[in-house]
Amino acid sequence: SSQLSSLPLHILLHVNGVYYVFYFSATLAMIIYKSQVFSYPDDFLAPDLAVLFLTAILEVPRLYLGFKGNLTEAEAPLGLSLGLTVGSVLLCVYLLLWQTYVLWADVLLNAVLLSAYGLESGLKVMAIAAFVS
Amino acid sequence: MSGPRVNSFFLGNSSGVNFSIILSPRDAETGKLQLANCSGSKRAGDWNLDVIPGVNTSKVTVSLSRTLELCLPNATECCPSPLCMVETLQVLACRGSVMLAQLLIQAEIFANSSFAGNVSENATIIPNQAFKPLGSCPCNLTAGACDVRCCCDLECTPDLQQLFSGSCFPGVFGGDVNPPYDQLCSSQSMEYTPEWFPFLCVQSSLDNTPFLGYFYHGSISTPKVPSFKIPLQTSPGKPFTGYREGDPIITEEDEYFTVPQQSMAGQCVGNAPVAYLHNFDVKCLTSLESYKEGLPHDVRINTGTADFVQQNVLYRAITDRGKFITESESLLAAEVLCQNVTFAEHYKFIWKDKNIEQVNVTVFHGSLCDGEILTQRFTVEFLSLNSTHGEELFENPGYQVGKPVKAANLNASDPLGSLNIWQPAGRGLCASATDRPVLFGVDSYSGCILEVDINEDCSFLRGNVTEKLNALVQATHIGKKDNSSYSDLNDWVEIIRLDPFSSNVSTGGFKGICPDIPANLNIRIIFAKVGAVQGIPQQEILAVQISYSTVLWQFQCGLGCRNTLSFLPITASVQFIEVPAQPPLPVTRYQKIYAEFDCNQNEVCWPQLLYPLTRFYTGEPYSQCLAKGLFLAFLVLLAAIMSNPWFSKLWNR
Repeated sequence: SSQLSSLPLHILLHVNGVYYVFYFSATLAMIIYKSQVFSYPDDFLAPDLAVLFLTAILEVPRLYLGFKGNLTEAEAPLGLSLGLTVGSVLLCVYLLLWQTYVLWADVLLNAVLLSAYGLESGLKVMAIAAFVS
Repeated sequence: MSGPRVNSFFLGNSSGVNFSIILSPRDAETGKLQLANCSGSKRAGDWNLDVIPGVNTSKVTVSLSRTLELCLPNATECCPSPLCMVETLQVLACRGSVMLAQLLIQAEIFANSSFAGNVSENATIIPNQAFKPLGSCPCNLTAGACDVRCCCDLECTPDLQQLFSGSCFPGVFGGDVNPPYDQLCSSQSMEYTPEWFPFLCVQSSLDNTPFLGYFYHGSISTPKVPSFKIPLQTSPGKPFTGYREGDPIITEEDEYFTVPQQSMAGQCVGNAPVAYLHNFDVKCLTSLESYKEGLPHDVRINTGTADFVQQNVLYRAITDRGKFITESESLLAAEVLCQNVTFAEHYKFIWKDKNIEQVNVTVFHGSLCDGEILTQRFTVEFLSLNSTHGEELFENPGYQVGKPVKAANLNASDPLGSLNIWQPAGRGLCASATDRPVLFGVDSYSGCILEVDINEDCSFLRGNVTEKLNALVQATHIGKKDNSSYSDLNDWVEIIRLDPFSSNVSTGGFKGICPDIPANLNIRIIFAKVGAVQGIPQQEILAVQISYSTVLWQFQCGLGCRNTLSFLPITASVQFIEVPAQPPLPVTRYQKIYAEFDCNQNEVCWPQLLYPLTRFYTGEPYSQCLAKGLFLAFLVLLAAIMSNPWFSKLWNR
């Protein structure tokens, strides 16, 4: 039986989930550190925190839909997951470039996450192509 | 035409010398100057040559005769570019055709860079200082023109900047308003980089620096301009309805009636108003230099019914000058400046109800000479119309604050006693000090300085000091009330004396040091409120204690230890201690409950603990606390969701 589900995608999604937990806690800790050490202009801490929590809120359904779509070989959940990935990428780019203070560790973490997203998106597109055809 | 000019000197005999100036073009290829010959005139191009001949030196002036304005659209005779002219001149001094001297001038002249045009009416947009510093180029002072030595000025062309680029203003003033801070990854100048520095250094651009600062959006409060005017009881339109006790006495011109009095700080103020029904008796020190005449005695005083009464003044001359004058050190026999001054003024105000009926003044005057210190005395007394003998104001048997404490010597034949403290004058020496009675309710501390010889015997010194202090307390009993009579023994309390501990310790033959000198007299008077008469609380003295505190006297060496006298300050202090005669009022239930929630008195402040729901606490920014609170709530929510078995089923699917 030919198996259309992509194993690399599954592995990548799994790794992404674990990495995301680490990423979230590290970024949150760094934002707390920055808020103590540096001075934020009025109301500039709130958007940074909001974006971080938004990535968390987007990540959960994104990963769930990715897993489900891959395992059930359905392209609708995968497509939805791909759409959510676009949103996550934008938020990640914000945290990378347009944060009030970007630390070098921020750059590292976000770069790794972005590369993971990119790789995932590629694999998802290939999987959708495989499922559709 | 005024333009740049330069002077130089030609040394030597200038007779027969021909000066000329020529413009020398440079050879385009080699850049070398062409050699000049002696044919030339005193004008070359725009340049003029002037020579002022002298005997051995001649002054040579080269001046430019054109404008140096930058070209405006319609102007001619102007400079097309900021660098107006670059020319090479040669000034030659020739005798005949032989060149004696040559002066080479290289001129690079820029146009005048002053702005002559319209000032724009547009206001400059001030950037938000939370993101951009206000004034990114503080040395850019002229708009539309280049400021010299200001390297951040954008109006300077690169050629101009090259002129002064070596000596720009450094630091903030020169435009470096955003210096790189230590946590930037690109800053290399830190001696100590923490170990985590490569990871936690700031990578983002210099636009977001912590040094842009906090800007506090606080609430605005309009300041209340303090009015320094003294509010008068009366205003011109309002009818004056009489004096109440404590009201200042007003003169005809609606001003305060002033008599010199002692201020809170202790010194005399000349323009202190007199309060209705408040008697006083003050002594003020003054000398000829600082003597100031008081209010003239012809001012009329408002009686309280918009009527005015004249002062009845009686002038008398001083008979006993010694009671008022203390001699100063310098005493010249003759030819001292003397002036007729007021020694004492005694005011008697005759009053009835709320009005003043009569004012009688007795003024004592005498002559005061230069170098003497005068103790002026001013008394003000309010006498009721019924009695003009200076009786008590109210029939108040209890002590009033400010009245002298009644003391008595009940064991002696003459019952009159006194309880005094020092009132020094002049240099403050005990030899010239006087006493004044202890006033009820007035805690005081006074003293005088005793001169002690180095060879003085310690026990003699102790005896001397004790005798002087005992002279203050010439009584055995103190009256409980103000109207204590000498015949009734129950009206008096005995003074509890704690005599000084006389030690027989000898100093071992050391001179100049004496231990245990009882130099401080402590009078402690305990009083209480024992009731009220006509609504006025009555105060009674319950007990009096007199004790002595000892000091160690040591001879103080002056310069070179040539003095034989040293000073020992002896003091007397009076302390009034109130004892509650009744138990204090019980604390109400409202006060008990309120005390729990009062943040100033408790260690735990409940409203502050409920921050951020209540905004009492101000130690932390509200946004940070809110962020932390929301994060905690998020974690709690996450924990609740994840511990739900539905969630674990979902996760495992």
